[in-house]
Amino acid sequence: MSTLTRVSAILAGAAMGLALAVPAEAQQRVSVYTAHTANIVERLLPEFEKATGIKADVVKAGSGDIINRVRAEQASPKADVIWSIGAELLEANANLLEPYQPKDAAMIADAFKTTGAWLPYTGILNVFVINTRKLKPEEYPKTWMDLAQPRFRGQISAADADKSGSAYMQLNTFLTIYGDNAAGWDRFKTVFRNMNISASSGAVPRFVNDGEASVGITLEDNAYLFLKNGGPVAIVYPEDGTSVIADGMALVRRAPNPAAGKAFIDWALSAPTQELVVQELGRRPIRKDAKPPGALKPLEQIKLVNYDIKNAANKRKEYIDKWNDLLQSR
Amino acid sequence: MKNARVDVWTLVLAVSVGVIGVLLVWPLTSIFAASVIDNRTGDLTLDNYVRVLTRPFFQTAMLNSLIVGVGGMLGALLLGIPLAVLTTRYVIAGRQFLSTLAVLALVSPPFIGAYAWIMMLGRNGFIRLGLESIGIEVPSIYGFFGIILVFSLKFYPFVFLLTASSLGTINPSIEEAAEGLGARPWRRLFQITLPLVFPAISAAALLTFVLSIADFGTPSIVGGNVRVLATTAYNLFNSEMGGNPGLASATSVVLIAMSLVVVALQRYAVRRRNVAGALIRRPVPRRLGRLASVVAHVVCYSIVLVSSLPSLVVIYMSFRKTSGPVFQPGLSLDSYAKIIREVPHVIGNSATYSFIAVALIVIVGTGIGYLLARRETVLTGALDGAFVIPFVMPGVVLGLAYVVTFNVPPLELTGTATIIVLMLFIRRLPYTVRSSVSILKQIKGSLEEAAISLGAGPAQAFLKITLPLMLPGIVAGGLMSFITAINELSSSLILYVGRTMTMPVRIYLSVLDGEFGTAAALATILLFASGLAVYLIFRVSGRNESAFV
Repeated sequence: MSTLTRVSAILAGAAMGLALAVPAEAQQRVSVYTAHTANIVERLLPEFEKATGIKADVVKAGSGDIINRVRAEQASPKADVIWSIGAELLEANANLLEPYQPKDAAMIADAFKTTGAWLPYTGILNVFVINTRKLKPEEYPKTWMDLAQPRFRGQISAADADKSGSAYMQLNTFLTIYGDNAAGWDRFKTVFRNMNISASSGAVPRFVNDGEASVGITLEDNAYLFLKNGGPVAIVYPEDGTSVIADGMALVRRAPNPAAGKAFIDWALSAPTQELVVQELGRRPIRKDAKPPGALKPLEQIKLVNYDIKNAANKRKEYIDKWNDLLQSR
Repeated sequence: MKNARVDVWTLVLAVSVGVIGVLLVWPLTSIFAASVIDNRTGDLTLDNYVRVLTRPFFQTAMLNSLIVGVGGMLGALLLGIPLAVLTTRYVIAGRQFLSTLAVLALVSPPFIGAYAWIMMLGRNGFIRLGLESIGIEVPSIYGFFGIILVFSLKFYPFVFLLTASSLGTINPSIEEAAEGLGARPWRRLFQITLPLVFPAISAAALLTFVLSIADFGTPSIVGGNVRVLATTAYNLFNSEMGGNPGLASATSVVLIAMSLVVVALQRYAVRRRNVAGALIRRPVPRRLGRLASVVAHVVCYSIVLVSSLPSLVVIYMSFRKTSGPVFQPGLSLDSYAKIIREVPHVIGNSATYSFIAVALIVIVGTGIGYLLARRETVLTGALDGAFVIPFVMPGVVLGLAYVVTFNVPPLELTGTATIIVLMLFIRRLPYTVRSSVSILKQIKGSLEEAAISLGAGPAQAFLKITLPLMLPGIVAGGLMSFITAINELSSSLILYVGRTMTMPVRIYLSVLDGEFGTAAALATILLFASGLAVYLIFRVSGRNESAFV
């Protein structure tokens, strides 16, 4: 019978393994859904865990996917905090969120104040990232419309506006400058024709850095990461205008661990975290008392358009449908 | 005695039917139900199918799936058959080395190959630049060329292994007779040899087609503007998560139907083709003339070495020095230090889930295999039929089906490790069942009956007599399941949450985010885990490459 005992031992072992694989809920935990790239998450989370003693579980996806997931889980929410996703998505889905007044609410710069359903996390800015080996400075595109030039055919890397919050913001910025009407869309189509669409916004500066594309439309901080580490890239601020908005975070309505979620938000808005995000990641701070990253152009010298978050939220479905039509007809 | 015998195996049968019912039939039914329900009103509708079948958006995806499926299949046949014929019929130096490399190419996750090919043949890839400097233009890696290239080089080992093992069992006297009647070598090959191994070749063709249309990672990394059904279902699912995933489900059902049609075609093509080779003696490899031999060696080694290139590139990149996301000149262990510092749990998860899943697969799979081989009833016949399902069910679809089914009570499992283990279990179970059936067919039932007539109970007879005889086969099958389980991407990508992330998911996300250093380091660890399993399989099965298919 010894073989039988051995087999039952294996069975019992497997069953125990299964039980172990479902983690015990001893420690305080917070469940965070984020659009941050994995390397940022892995740089920042240990700081959070050190500062608060709370363990964080992170799900990483595009902004659009995150909101869909939170909506799907509405009946029994799994997430406590949504961290670093497109502001207009939070604005449009306020019914999924729980308003929270953070400890440092008074320190938030006026430019980034929100309606209250969600909170600003950092300031993000859209730029062009250029491969300096493929283009000489005089060949850099200077404006959004420069991207429509035939010489950039297939050379412009951009993300999918349906999935990426930053790509949606870029589309909106373009329409803010050139008009949300047939003429504006026609102009956008000429730029769109030159684009290579990647599945994730994080891939855009990588493609440019590697010479797979000569120009990318991306967030300043994503480009800065490659610039800071010696990649062959340059940052161009479009002369016809770009947008800076708050990248948002929020407490999820009926979050399973609301206290831990609030602790996470307070940590994200604290001065040390904001400094870290600015210095290490090249994001713009939203606190009055934090300085912008030294190497980057001051905001006053950049032409900024008046980006309407409310409008971006209201028009999202319409714009995304048009975007998908463009994407599906190519 | 008779009663006890019925009892033990009846219990196993009941458990098996329960497991298949809950883990396979129920999710499949749910996804089918979701596909015929209106997202908004909840009414019964065929609208999702009408849209999938009539809209250009889906028609393009369907056509693209067919193109990459057929392309991947033809590419794999084109590489696999010559390699099999040359290495079994002629003297090729280093045959063992060749087959080991082919097997290693087989066990590396295909999306790793996809991104390694970007490094080699992307716009700035080193091979492209090298070829351009001598005036050779290569088509863009993004799109059909890239997808089909990756599939061909990834899946040809299936064709090679299946064809080679079949070539090894046909009676050489048939070929010799053809030769004696004056058939030239080419004619002999096409009119005698290949038709004889047609069942094996068509089975391999079917397998490569099904794998190609099910693959998700490759088209999403090198697909460019080419959308296939698998990526479309995944994207639809992500944007439909709030409601009933009707369109994603309908797309999934179409994908399953496509695979089933091909399975049926293959079965139809090989009906009455079952040439049981009365094996008298094994074919002896011949020596080729000097020139022919050189050509044969060049062909064999080119195929195998080119298919190993992606793994070599990945291993090399994992040791490159990095600063943030940017590769620097020189070598270092930066990327490894980074993953050990930042994502150790991901490595642990992959190992734990795969081990538990494989333990369950081995136990349940052996039991079911025994039932199918030794207790033929209507119910076991149905069970056998049910095992075709995971085979034709792409990972994306199974992942979707599990979310639809286990996101709500009575079995609310989403977000747990259990759901990933169960998914791995059900995906690989059929392969172990099949291998234990085929092992059992080689072990005489009379041995066990003798034990029973000498007074052993049925359980004891099985454990003491049959199981030890099956053991080498079971271990090899288990290791093979381990390799595929630890490399599983598409279902895990749908089912994972932060703390249940696995290595392939992390690699995929890293590749999407452009963090190639950490992706390469994790991929190298995966490669070595798979390589170790391959080595162990060779040890227990006495270098029998057919253990891999």
